[in-house]
Amino acid sequence: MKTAVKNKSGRSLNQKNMRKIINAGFIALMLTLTYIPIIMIVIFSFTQSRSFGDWNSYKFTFALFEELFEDAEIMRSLGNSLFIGLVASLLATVIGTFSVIGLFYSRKKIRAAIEYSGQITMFNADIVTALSMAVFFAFLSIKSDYVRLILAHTVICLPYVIMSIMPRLYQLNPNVYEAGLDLGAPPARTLLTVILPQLIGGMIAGFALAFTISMDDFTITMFVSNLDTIPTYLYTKLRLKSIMPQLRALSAVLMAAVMAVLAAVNIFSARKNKKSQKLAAQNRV
Amino acid sequence: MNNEKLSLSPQNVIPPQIPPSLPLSEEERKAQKRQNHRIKLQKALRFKQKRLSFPYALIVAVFVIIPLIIMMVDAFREPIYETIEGVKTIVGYSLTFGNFDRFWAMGKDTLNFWKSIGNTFLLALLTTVFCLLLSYPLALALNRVKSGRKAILVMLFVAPMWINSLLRIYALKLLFSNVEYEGFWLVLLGMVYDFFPFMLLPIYVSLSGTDTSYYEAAADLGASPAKTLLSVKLPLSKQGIVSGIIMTFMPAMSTFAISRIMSSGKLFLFANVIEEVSLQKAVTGTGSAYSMVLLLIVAVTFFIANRFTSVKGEARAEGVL
Repeated sequence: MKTAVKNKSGRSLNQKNMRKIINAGFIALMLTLTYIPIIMIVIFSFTQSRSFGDWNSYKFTFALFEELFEDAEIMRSLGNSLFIGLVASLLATVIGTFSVIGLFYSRKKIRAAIEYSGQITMFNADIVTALSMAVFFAFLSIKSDYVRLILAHTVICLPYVIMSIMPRLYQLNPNVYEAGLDLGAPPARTLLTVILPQLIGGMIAGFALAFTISMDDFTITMFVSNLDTIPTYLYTKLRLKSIMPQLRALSAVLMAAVMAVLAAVNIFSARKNKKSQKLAAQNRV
Repeated sequence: MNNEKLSLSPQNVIPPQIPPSLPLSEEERKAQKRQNHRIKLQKALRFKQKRLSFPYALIVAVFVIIPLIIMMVDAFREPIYETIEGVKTIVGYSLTFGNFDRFWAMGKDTLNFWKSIGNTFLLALLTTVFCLLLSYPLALALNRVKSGRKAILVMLFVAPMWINSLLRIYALKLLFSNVEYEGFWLVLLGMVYDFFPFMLLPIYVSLSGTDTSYYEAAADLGASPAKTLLSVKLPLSKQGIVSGIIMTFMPAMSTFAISRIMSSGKLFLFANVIEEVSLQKAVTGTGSAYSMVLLLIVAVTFFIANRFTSVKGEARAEGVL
C-alpha cells in the first residue's frame, strides 16, 4: 500500500518535472523564433557584405552606420518624422485632454456617440482612412504637405490619447473639484490647477502612445503627402526591391532605440512599483 | 404629483414653500443667496465643461466622417475631361458605376478583383488560425511560469509590437533572401510573424485575469486536464480570443506592405490593388470603390465579433459555471 502511494507520487513528480521542461522549452522556442530575424539584422548591420546570412564574407565594420549618418535623404526623413511626430502628438495631447474632461461631463448618449465615432480610425483599415483623407485634402486643396500631415496624424492619434487619459479621470475623487470651488477658485482655474495636475500621468502616457503611432505610420503619410518620413522612406525603398545594405543599419538603429526606450520605461515603472509597495507596507505598519 | 416631485429636489425646497411675508433673518438670506449662487455656478460650470468636448466632436466630424462620405461619393463619380488650350482639365463629374465595373475590367491579371479578394480572405483566415494555434498554448505556458520571471517573458514577447512592422517584415524577408520561392506561403509567414503578439497579448491577459480556483474546482470534480481546458479555460478566455481575432483578422485583411515586401510585389492582395490604383493619382474613383468594399468588410467583421462577445460569450461562460 505504502509503496504504491510512493510510486504514484514519484511518477507524478516526474510528470510535473517533464511538464515544466516542456513548458520552458516551448517558451524558449517561441522566443527564439521571435527574435531570430531581429538579432540577425543587427548582426548583419555590422558588415558591408551584400548577401545576407553569408557568414563567409562577414567582416566586422561600422561602415554602414557611417554611411547611414551621412545620408542626407535619411537624415531629412528622420527630421520630418520627429517634427511631425512631436507637433501632432503635442496637439493631440492638448486637444485630447480637454476633450476627455468634456466627454466626462457630457450626457451618456452624447459621450458614447462622440467616443465611438472618434474610434472609427482605430478600427478602420489604415488604407481606407488614408485614401479618404487624401481625397478630402484634395477636395479642400490644402497644398502644404506639413499641414496635411500634422492634421492627419493629430486626428489618428486623438482616440489613443483619450483612451489613455479617460481612466485617470474616472479614478479622480470628485470632492477635490468641489473643494476647489468651495475655496473660492473660479471653475476654469479649478480645472487647470486641481484637475489637470492629476491627469498628468495619463497625459504623458497618451503623448508617448501618440508619438509612437505617428512615428510608425506610413500608410496615411504616404497617401496624404509627398513628404518622406522614416517609415515611408523605408517602404518606398523596399517597394522598389532595393537591397541597400544601409537599410540594415537603419533598421538596427531604430530597433535598438525602441528596445532601449522600452527597457528604460519598464525599469522605471518596476522601481516605482517597488517604491509604492514599500510605502504601502510602511503605512500598514 | 408634479408638486411633490418638485419639492423633493433640493434646489426647490426653499423658495416656493416660504411665503414672502415671512421675514428672513440676515444670515438665512445670505445662506440662501449663497446656495442659489452655487447652483447657478454649477449649472454654468457643467455646461462649460461639456463644451470642452465640442472641438473633438468637430474634428471627428470634419476629418473622419466627412472624408469617408466624400470617398463614397468619389466611388460613384467619374471626372469628365476636356482639353482646354492643350491642357487636359476636369470640367465636371458624372454619376457612374464605372468604378465598380472596373473591378472586373481589370481582367485576369494580378489586379483582378476576385483573385485579390480570394487571396486576401484566405490569408487573413489562415493568419488568424495560425496565430491562435500558436499563441493560445504559449499564453497557457506563460501563465504557468513563476510570477517573478513571468513579467519579463511577457514583456519580451510583446516588445516587437513596438518595433515598426515594416522593420520586422524586412528583417524576416532578409532571412529568406536566398530562397527562390516568393509567394503565398511566405506572405502567410510574414503575416503570422507580424500579427502574433497582437493575438498573444489579449489572450494572455484574459487567461491571467481569471481566477485559478475554477481550474482547481474542475480538476477536483474529476475533469481531465483536456476536459478542463476545453470546457473551463477556453470559455473563460473567450473575451481575449475574440479581441485577439479582431486584432489580427482586421489588419490582415487590409495589409499591403507585408504582401508587397514578402512576395516582392508578386502577390496582389485587396489593399495592394487600392495602393496600386490610387497612387497613380489620376484614378482615385476606382481606389475609392475598392476602399468602400474594404470598409464594408471591416464593419461586418467588427459587428459579428462584437455580437459574439457581448451576448454569446457571456452566456456560454455563465452556462459553464
